[in-house]
Formats: sequence, C-alpha cells, structure tokens
Amino acid sequence: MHLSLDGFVAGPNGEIDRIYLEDELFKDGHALIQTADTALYGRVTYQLMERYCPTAADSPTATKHDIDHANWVNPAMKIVFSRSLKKTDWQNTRIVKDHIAEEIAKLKEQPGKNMILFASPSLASTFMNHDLIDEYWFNVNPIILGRGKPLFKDVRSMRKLKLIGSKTYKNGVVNLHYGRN
Amino acid sequence: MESSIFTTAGTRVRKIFVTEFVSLDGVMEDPGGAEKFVHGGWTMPYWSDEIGKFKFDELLASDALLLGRVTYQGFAAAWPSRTDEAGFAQRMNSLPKYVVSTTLDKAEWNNSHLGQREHCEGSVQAEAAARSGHHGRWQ
Repeated sequence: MHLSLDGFVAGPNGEIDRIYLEDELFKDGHALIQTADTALYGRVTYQLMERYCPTAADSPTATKHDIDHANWVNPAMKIVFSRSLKKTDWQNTRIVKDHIAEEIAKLKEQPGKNMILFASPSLASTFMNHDLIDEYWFNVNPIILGRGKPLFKDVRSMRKLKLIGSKTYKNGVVNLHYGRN
Repeated sequence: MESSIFTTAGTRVRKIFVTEFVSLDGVMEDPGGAEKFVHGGWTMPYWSDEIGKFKFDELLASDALLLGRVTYQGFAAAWPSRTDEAGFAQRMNSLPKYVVSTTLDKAEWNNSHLGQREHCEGSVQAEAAARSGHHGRWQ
C-alpha cells in the first residue's frame, strides 16, 4: 500500500497521481503478488480496478507492469466487501456484505496462497480494528500531502507491530514490512 | 566536532531540523509517559543505545532548541534537575531555547527566549541568516 508521510493513501478526491513509482518497486510488488491468489478490495478500489484491469493488458500503451498485474488479477479470486454493490461483471468476484471477521476466518482455513488487500483505506481500517491483518507492506512516499484519504483515521485500537524488513528505493520511497508482534 | 549524519557540508544559512518520535499512524503525543496520555511512554519499549547515540549526536549538532509551549514546559520541569556523565542534560540546560507561545508570561529555564507566534517567522529567519554552520532543532 502506498502512503504519504502523513498517512494518506490518496488525495482528497482519490487522486493517486502523486505516487512515486520506479521499476524496482514494480518488481518487488510483482514478486509479492506471486505469493497470493486472492485480492481483497473495498468497493471504491474494486470499481476503479474493475474499469481498468479486464482490458489493461490489451491496450497499446500497456506497460510491462500493467500486463503483469492484469495477468495476475484477472484470473485471481477477487473479494469485494460492500453493502451497496449488487452485481459485478468482472470474473471470479465474490461480494461480501457483512460479517467480515467470520468471512476472513473461513477464507484463511481454505487451502490456497496468501490474500492481499489492495489500497481500500476504509476496509483496511476495518481489518485493523478486527485484527485480521497478518502482515503490512507500506510504501512510504517522500511527500506530505496535507489533505487526502487517511488510512488510520478510524483505527481505534493500539496494536504493537514487529518490523520484519525495510527497503529504501532510489526515488526516496521507503518500504516498511511489518508483522504481528 | 566529530562528524555525524547531522553534519552538512558547506551550509551557509542555519538549517531547521524537525525531530519527533512518531507512531506509524502519526501520533506523537507523550512519548515519555509524563503527560498522562492513555498510551503515554509508548516509545520506551523501543529505546536502545543506538537511539540514545542518535539523540546525543543530534543534540551536539544543534546549537539552539525551538519549542512549542507544551513541550517547553515539560522540558523546563524536567531538565534543570538532571545530570548525566555524558553531558546530555548539561547541554540541554545551557543551549539557547526559543519558545513560541501566546499565553506564557515568562520562560525561566536557563537561556530561554520567549516569542509571540506572530513574530516567530521573522525571528527564525533573522536568526538563521545571522549565523551560519550550525543547526536549530525544532523538537
């Protein structure tokens, strides 16, 4: 998940054009998704991805990253947590309306690879409050946004973490990898 | 002075450094536990000799402390009675302190200078321009 130094995941209107990107970040991101076979989204992030991913690999301007990500996410299992979403046309999607903790407990017991929650700040807060997250991968961008979509605003409980690793990228992004303490 | 990560070569105007203990979610309240915050003292489990050296190097590389009223009052209550072999407390007590407040009447901790918020920007710029080669530290 990309974060500004002041804890925002996007600008006030969901803008993500300020995110610092470079090949090495894409490479590590791609390696991470290979450990997973399921994507978890809140409604807003899901709808963004749904508009873009099914055809992303076919676009003449598609980058290697676009193609790699599309090739992973399109066949992957996608679970979107939403009370308002009624239907979706993107393949392999399941809509979960409620009982998030119970749903996640069931999913963890099924055989398979890891599950990754992408962006989705509201859903991430809910997951944090229910202590559902085993590992965090934050890419802290060298920017103070001042305003935007905050990741931690609705997090209500203290949680001690263990730093598993960190990596500094050439463009100034610092990746912080945390696990449960 | 021994070289450290705080040394900046060729500096012509003093730099302002901001140094904070901060949690992942951006909280910096009561790192030491003296302010009765529900999670007060939250930095203590992570203290180490390495962090101690960092704080000492940082203090040696600064020659003025810039403080808001709340932190100033906390420091002014704690530091004058402290001593240590390495001289950390001695340096905290002897360095000039600049506190910005609209409510404080006097600042009695040794070498303190009280400024109003509206005058702060100009004063800091004047200080920075007047001297060179050292760093102010906003704590």
